[in-house]
Amino acid sequence: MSFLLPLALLVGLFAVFPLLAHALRRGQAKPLPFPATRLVPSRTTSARQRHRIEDKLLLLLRILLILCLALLAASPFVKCSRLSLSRTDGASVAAALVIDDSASMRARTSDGSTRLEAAIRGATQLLGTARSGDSFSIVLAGYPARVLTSTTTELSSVKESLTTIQPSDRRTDLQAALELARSLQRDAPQSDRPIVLLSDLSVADANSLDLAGVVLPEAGLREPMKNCALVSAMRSPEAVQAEIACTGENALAGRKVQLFDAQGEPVGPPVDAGDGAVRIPAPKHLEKKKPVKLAHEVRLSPSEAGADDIESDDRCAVIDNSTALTVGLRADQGKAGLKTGAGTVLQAAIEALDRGVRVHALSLLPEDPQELEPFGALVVDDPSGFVPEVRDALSSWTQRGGVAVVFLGPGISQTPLGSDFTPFLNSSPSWSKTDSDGTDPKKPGALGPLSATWNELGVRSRAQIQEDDGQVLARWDDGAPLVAQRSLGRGLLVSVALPSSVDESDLALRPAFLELLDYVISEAAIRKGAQATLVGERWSVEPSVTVRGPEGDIIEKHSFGFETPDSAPRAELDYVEPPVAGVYRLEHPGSLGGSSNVSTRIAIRDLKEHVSQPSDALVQAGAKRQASTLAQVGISREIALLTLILGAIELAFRVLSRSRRGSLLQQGVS
Amino acid sequence: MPPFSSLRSRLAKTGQARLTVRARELASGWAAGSHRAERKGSGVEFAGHRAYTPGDDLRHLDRHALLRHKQLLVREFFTDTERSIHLVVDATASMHYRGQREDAKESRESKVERGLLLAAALAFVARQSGDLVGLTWVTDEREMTRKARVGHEAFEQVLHELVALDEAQLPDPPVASRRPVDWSAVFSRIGAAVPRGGIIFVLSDLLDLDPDASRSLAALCTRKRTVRAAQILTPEEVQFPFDGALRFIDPESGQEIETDGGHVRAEYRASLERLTKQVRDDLLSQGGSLHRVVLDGPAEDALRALAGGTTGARS
Repeated sequence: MSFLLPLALLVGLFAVFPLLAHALRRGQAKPLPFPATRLVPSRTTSARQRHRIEDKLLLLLRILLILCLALLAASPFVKCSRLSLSRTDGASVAAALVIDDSASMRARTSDGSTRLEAAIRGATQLLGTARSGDSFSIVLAGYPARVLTSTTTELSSVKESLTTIQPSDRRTDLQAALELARSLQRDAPQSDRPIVLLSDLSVADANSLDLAGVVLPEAGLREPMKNCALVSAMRSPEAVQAEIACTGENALAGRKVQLFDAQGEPVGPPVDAGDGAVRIPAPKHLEKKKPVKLAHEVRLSPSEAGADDIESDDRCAVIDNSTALTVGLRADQGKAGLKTGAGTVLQAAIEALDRGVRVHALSLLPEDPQELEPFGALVVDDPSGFVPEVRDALSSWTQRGGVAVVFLGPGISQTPLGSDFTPFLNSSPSWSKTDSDGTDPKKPGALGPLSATWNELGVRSRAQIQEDDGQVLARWDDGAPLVAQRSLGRGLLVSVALPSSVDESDLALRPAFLELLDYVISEAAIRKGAQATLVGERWSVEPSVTVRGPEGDIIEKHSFGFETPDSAPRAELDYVEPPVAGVYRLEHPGSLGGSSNVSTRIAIRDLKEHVSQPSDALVQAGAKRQASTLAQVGISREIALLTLILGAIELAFRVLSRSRRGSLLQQGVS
Repeated sequence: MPPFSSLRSRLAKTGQARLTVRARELASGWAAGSHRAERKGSGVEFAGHRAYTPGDDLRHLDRHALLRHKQLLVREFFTDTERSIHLVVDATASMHYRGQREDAKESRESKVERGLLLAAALAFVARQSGDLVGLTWVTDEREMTRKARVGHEAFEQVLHELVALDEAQLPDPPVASRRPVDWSAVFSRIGAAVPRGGIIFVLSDLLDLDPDASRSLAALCTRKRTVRAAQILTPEEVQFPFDGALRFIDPESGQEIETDGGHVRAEYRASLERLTKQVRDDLLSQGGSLHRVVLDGPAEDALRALAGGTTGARS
């Protein structure tokens, strides 16, 4: 309970007065002249009765009356379980509601509703306490964090947008969501800008969250979760490898996994589930004639103990392990091979990124665009130029969203006739000696601060890239371009003035090298998209493509405007962010060169999201911060009513006492 | 000053003009009056025959009886004589009690005021009937008895005494005199002063009557006298509507009693009824009567009850 005027509680000290008055009355019996005194019996207990406070009920009523008046004067507020916006100075607020719509919010709470429903309910309660002038924005914290409603004072639209929030299998992206919320509030005219985070706080990196100005109402979201989830099911010719994650033994007890076909018929016997990878052997008759298809799915039997709070993650589509983003790598083992083992430096670097991509080594660059189609990115090391067929294939593939990077090296000097470096470079590069030893640490380029680590590369020669070959991402210390990129269609072409070979330079040994490859893969994932990605990862799609989700519903596409190297607007890229795990169908209006005009992509669950419990640190922080969002309801009206009732009772009591004497006088008097 | 008006003005408002004082006992007066006398005389209502005695008035000799029975018989007739009315007014401190109600306390009537009013009204009725009127008033300090006399002058003298008592109000609350009245002695002196066949009206609260005094009061009924006592009480004294711890002070004796009003109510009422019953029984055994007069009732009712007697038999 809090008070608007706490000092007014001092009025309660006046409660001592009726106490004193009654005590004084108690101290001395009232003297009464009475002619018939000799007929009045003397009570032996009267002396003791004098020490009792008379009319205890009346005294209690009067003390309560004064206490109620004191409370009334102090204008009390009480907190209730409903959420409410707290106003530090009573003025309007610009509140950002960050609602976690990640997969863990699908968990059912003890009241039968899901955490997400509880969060939406809490947000509705908060909106219910809004006043005129308050502005609200809603940010969804499932990956990727996104704005559901920009800052607006139109409460009706905010409330309506709450109804559009759907459960998803996304992972939690609280940090980005909070930053997004702060950016939305930045220009708000209100000085009071609370960020209300309605989340179960199931995040691994709790300490990295910046909770400044964030209130964390509990809202029934933080009950421990009991769950087993089918994270993925990879197919192989003989079996399906299901990956199961559980919160504990009790969630797993007695459960089995089984393979089902597209018609929902079980395929093969059930297998005992276990925490981790479980092998589900395919039936013999399917191994040869009817191999396991993408349409199959693995189902986890229900928990007999009822220890499964998320039912939707008990089934998982069977996917091919070839559906990850594939990077085509053309690198010479002899020139850029690892000194310590098999493979190339580039392959090792890409795998070190742990981005879940597959690296497909190419002996030759394809001359047919269709052969490049499976690749999301293409990495070419020290080429000696591209023949026209390769150039055409590269251009066609790039225009449709391919991202390619070329590491120029001594091969430039061996460029055969008819070959050149288009579409990467407009001009013909040259391989020449240089006195420069790397980038200027004081001048990091657009690639990022890590490009400063390329400062002492130990180079003797380098490729000459012209300024007009694209946007320069990193420069030598003499100003010449080290890394440049140019766009082509919806794709991106990156040129590096050094090869990956550690014999030529230390380029591949510096952190900036991994940063560059990560940049390329990220761009590829955005443009080309992996065949199987985590839920929420963007898939770039053709504008004409229709994307249908696992349930056959059309997935809404978004557009993304790229910043081009020369600051000119580029064509927008359409993309989808798959909200739930499953197999998505991409329906192309025309043939892509194959026999089918329908392709598939798969969104898979994030393991941690389905088994992680609310972070203890955040829950404790939330306990301190939630108080400010609990509804503070003024109870002055109720206390005023109580005061009135007490006053009426006191008055009635006195009138009754007086009338009782009067009625006694009337009885029997003729 | 009287609380709301003088005794004379209040007397004028009471409906006593049509009343006559009646008693069960026959009157013993000599002068003509309105009360049937025990003596036979020159009335018009035939009372019977008796044997002639020498000295009887020959006008009353019944000659028809002489011819029929050959005996000398004398016809007797009832006669109406005056009756002696004696008023006893208790004006002690206890009679100045007005009750405990806080509202309009000053406008309330005290017991002695009601007693004086009733006494004045009865005196007026007696004067109208040609009866003798006597008065005894008793205060804590003194007692005075005026023997019964007839006529307007006697009535005025009685009324003067009553008005003087009425105007000599005790302070409220009254100061305890600490000198209890010896009612047995008072009633003995009244018995000596009131002639045979008289009617004695006692106007008191009778609260301080001990059993001896009660029997002395009943003894006034001897010699064909009639005693009509009016126990004048306030509603508080009847109902005892007190609650909580109280300290009662007897205005006459100064006795103080601490008690709890609500707890002793029933016991008090029982004590009052016991006292009243004792006085009533003593009076009834001697042919007297007791009437309770509560101040919230009209004075006319009390006056009618006192004047009319219990049987209504004409004397």
